[in-house]
Amino acid sequence: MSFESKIFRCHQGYLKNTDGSALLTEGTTSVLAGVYGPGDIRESRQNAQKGVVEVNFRPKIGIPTLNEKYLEQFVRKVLESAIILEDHPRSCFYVITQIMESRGSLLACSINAAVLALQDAGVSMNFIPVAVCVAVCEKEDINGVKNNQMVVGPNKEDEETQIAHMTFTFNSVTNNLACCHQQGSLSQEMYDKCLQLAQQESSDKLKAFREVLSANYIGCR
Amino acid sequence: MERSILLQPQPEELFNKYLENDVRADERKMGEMRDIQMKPGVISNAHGSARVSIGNTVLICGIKAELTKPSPEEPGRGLIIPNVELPPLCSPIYKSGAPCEKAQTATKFLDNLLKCTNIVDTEQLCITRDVLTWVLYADIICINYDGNLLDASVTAILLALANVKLPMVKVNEDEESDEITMDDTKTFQLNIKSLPVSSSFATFDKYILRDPTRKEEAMTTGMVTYVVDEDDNIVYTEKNC
Repeated sequence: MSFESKIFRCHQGYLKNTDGSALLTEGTTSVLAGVYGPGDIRESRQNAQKGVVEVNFRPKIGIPTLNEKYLEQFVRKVLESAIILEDHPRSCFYVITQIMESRGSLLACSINAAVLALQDAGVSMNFIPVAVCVAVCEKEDINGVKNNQMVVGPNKEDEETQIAHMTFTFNSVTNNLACCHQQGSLSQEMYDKCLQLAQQESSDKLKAFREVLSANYIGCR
Repeated sequence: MERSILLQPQPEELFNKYLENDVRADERKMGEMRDIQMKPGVISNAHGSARVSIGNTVLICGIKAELTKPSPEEPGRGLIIPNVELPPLCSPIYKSGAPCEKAQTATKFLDNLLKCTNIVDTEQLCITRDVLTWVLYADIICINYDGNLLDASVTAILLALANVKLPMVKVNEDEESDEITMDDTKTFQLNIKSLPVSSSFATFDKYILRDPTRKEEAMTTGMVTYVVDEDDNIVYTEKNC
């Protein structure tokens, strides 16, 4: 794990017009998430039993493409299970994630930014989703021998040599896997090892989430 | 009698009752898959095609090959461009107009899968480096949607790619003219490196339902899809809670 991937900086309440926002920098990747909610939604899209979550994933440059649409579904489904939607029937939570800088571990950073923005908005959640990215990269060691190494929070250089890329999202309460996306060929043992590594990392990240919140509220009386 | 009474006003209760008795609405066991049927070469005008049906879900994949200049980032490789469509005829949920979210995410899923698994080495599609290459447009159209789109799409696109017959093309490197001669009598088939298999499961509470139908997908909250190759390596995973 390089020094860069240890960077975890979050500025909650960055945007003034949204109900909640967070500018999250993880390593060298930076995502700005804004949340409006619970708010109005067209009758045709309303759900009488529970609220609805809409995510808008915006790339750094250009209009959103199929790639962004694909990543949106992961963010949306995690938030749908995390937010207590039954408390907000016929309403909608609009989550906008704007990519500021994408240099590795993008999906994990986006999910975390959306969660921190929801916390800033004071939305009640069943659990805190914590997303971790792990990549299996081909690295050369000192002797010039190539071997596969697991890298937590890969940066852009790591992702260029990667064989497999995984984003795991954990449920903070039960510590189970809430959401997962993996691409690239991996043996089942390697997959399990990466999952364990990600699980360990997620507990550290959860502590970092709590520190971010504490910094905002503890000391304000 | 009891079933039809419960079906309309309390579909969730009925669904739960089935699961508690370790059986599903179509009398399958939890881990049982529906009948799969595959037929390659169903479209005579396409360069490659296949029809796949998993239970009542029917998909047709047609591949059309065109010649183009390779992209500057990868001058020695061709392109495979998948596109999944869920037209209004396949299910009452889908309307005509822009592709729905399900179709778009399935398209991106296939695109990612083809790129990361290297099933078809796109170098074999390139005729002359930096000058001419084949681009394969793989269109997957759902005729009838009854759940499990991803498994059926993966099977359909692989079968269609295996069925592709491309004519031999020569670039006439004359200084005066750049002539391309296409010989339809000599065709070559693509070399498919591996045939990964996709398995989808719907998750609901503590129940895991293999190969969900459309009604089961509507009732359940989570979905897991694993794509595994012949060496038991996990190639692609998508899990949503």
